[in-house]
Amino acid sequence: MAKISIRFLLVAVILLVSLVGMLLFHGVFGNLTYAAFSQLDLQIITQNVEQSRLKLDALIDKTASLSQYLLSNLLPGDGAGKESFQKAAHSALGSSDALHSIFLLDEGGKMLAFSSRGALKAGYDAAGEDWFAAASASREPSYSLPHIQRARSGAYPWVVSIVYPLRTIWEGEELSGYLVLDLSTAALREVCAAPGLEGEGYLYITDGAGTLVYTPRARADGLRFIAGAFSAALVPGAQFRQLEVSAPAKNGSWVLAGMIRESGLRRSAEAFQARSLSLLLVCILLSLLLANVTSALIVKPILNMERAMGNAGTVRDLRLRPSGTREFIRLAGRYNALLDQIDGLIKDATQKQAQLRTLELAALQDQINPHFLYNTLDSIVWTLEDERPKEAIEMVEALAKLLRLSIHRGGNFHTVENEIEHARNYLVLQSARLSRRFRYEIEAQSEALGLYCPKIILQPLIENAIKYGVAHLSGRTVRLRVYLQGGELKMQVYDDGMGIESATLERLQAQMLKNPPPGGETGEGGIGIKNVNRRIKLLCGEEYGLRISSEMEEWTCVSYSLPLQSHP
Amino acid sequence: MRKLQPAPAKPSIKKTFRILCALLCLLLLPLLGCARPNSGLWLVCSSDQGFYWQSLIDGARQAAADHHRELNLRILADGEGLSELLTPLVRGGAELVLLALDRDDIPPGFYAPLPVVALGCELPNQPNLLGQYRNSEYFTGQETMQTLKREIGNQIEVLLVTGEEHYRPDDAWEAELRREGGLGGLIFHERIVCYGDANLAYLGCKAALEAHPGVRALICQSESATLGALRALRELGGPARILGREMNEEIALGVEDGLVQASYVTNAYALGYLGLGDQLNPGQDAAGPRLLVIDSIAVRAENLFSEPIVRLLFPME
Repeated sequence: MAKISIRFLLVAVILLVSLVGMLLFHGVFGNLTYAAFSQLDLQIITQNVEQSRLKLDALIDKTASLSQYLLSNLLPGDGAGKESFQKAAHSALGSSDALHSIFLLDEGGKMLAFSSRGALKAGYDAAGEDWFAAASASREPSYSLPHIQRARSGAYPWVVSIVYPLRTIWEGEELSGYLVLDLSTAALREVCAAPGLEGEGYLYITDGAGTLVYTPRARADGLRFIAGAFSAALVPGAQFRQLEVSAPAKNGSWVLAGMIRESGLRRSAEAFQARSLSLLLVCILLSLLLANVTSALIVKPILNMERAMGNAGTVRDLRLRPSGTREFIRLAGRYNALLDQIDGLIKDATQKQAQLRTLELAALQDQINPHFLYNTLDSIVWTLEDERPKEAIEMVEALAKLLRLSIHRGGNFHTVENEIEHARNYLVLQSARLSRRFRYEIEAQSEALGLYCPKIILQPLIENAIKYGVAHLSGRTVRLRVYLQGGELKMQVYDDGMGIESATLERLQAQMLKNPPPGGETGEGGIGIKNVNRRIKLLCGEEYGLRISSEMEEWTCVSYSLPLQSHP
Repeated sequence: MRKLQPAPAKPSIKKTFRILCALLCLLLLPLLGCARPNSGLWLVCSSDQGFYWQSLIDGARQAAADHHRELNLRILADGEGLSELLTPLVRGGAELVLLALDRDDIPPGFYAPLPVVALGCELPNQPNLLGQYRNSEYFTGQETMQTLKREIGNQIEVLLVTGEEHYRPDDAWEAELRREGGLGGLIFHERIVCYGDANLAYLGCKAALEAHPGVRALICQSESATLGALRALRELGGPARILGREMNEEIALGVEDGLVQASYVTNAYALGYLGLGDQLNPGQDAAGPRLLVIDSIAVRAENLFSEPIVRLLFPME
């Protein structure tokens, strides 16, 4: 689980929920709709068949009415003749594109009158034709099966012959014959044209006995008899289903029926299915997009935070822009506050270091005070002039050690032993310089020597003790004590010199407790005492610092405590 | 306190859109395949005029419709090279190209592998007949010879009227004419080539009949040759009779009138329908198309209006 990202989880969950929802919807409603569309397809096809049946009935009606019109022209007693018949036939042909020819035959099949869209073939006799034989046998109006009309010259159209037996007076003589109207199969083709089927099936016409009258697939279906080894190339009949709709035509002889492919009954349903699948795909893609966008909005602030944290220490500006959800805005605010706090702490630490450096520098500057140096060198000269080389050597050695420590760059701490040594060298020099007008004592507990303490603390205090305590008097003592007490390192500089006036002592004590601004400030007690006090506080804490006590004209004691530190 | 600037965040929306674009391209790729300009089924014919070509085209179209496919028709133009026609079709992704051509339209040594398939014609240099359909022209020629000798006469003067320049070396006529010293009993005057033009056939036959009034038979090897010979014979009259090919209303009238002794009709509709249907049949052998033999039918005055022939010759549709 720890290796899966939030983003992946969000995308996966949103996508999964969307997918399940869409699939459920598609599965449940898709099936219902599919069945409905299939039913709709069947209804449409049925309506197409019905429309075609109406067209067929209209064709039959028109043909029948034209027949009646022609027959009325051949009624006995009206003196029907060739001229009047042909005129009527011509008129009938002109009113119906479906009719190909109209002619009058005698009982033997001989042509009496003929009207057609082309010329009559010379010597044409219908007697040998099958349709004529069938019609003359029944003596009832009949519809023949489709056949090639052989009466025309130079043309061989397919027609259905509608035969009406009649008895009339023809050119003065009694006639028993037949009125024949040849209906073009092109008209039947138009009837069977069903735009709604559109390649998915076809309509055809049969007679009462099931014999095919017209089918648009006459040529293709006829190949069954010659296909042989290539029968598989024929569109299998199983692909077509007989429609359950057949519509008897008005003439009582014909039936309009249909064949439909199985796929035709599923056309709308499959189209719907394809569309719904496309829609499903689009929805999946949109879900994916939505999931990505949503997860990006949520995860982006986390990633920014992660990146910022990763760059910590290398990128200067680490604050986050509060963006995204409310929770991330709050988190970003708290993160920025934390950064501000850290920034403040860093600045404080930097400031402290800077202060320390300044104070150290000041202390060092004080140490390497040219006046002190001149005076010390003068003292050395005087000592040499006084022919006291040993003292001179001692003074030079002490000066060298003093300067060595002064210029040594290291940390802020060194050993207590070094600090005492530094103070000792200073006392040596000052004692020599002041012609041994004062004495000095150094007491240090051996356990304290190995501990660490801030550098150059004792020397400024000793300087003050000499300068303000014993320098103008003689026979006084400066005592340095270093010892351990109460878990702390105690250092004390005592002199039995002039002491400090109480008012001045109070001010000094108050100053030791305050935080003066850094820098080489001078004033009461000199640069050293405030510098020392500030440095102690910076290095060890505000609770540490100098403690000054004094009695006027008696003594002065400056002491301080330090935490025990066994390493720098 | 100094305010820190936020680190810039990389946008992820661009990456999301790139992924979606890639997905869309994957979805559209199949459509791009379908959009290839010359994909699909193609039928290339020498002509779309006449009973043979129209029947063949009708048959192929019906087969395509029955399989819910669309058939593209291309007629070889005069002077157009076959390679020049086929190359863009094949390169354009044609699934199947049926070639139904006169022999004259096939250059010597022409070779075209699948998806090009010969329908009713022969491609040279295709030794195992893979990719070929063939109607039994040789057998038709033999039948014609037998009819000629049986019904018209044996040692008679004949004219040969062909529609095209080239013919196979084993053509029945050449075999017959070379047998028994060259003529085999027939007096062969000349060969008239009409190049598919009935008018040329008419002019050639008329001139030949005038030059050889004793000609008793005109053996016509194409529909245009038959038409031209019929027209010449109607004009000049005489005892000659035609043994022809294919059918239309004019030739049918010639049969009825007795000027055409017999006309051999190829069921080109079957050739087109079964030929294309076989290729579209899902169960078709993957090795390639098979030999499809469609016999010719001899149409005479006696059987012109018989049921199966009349349906073949005069389509109801």
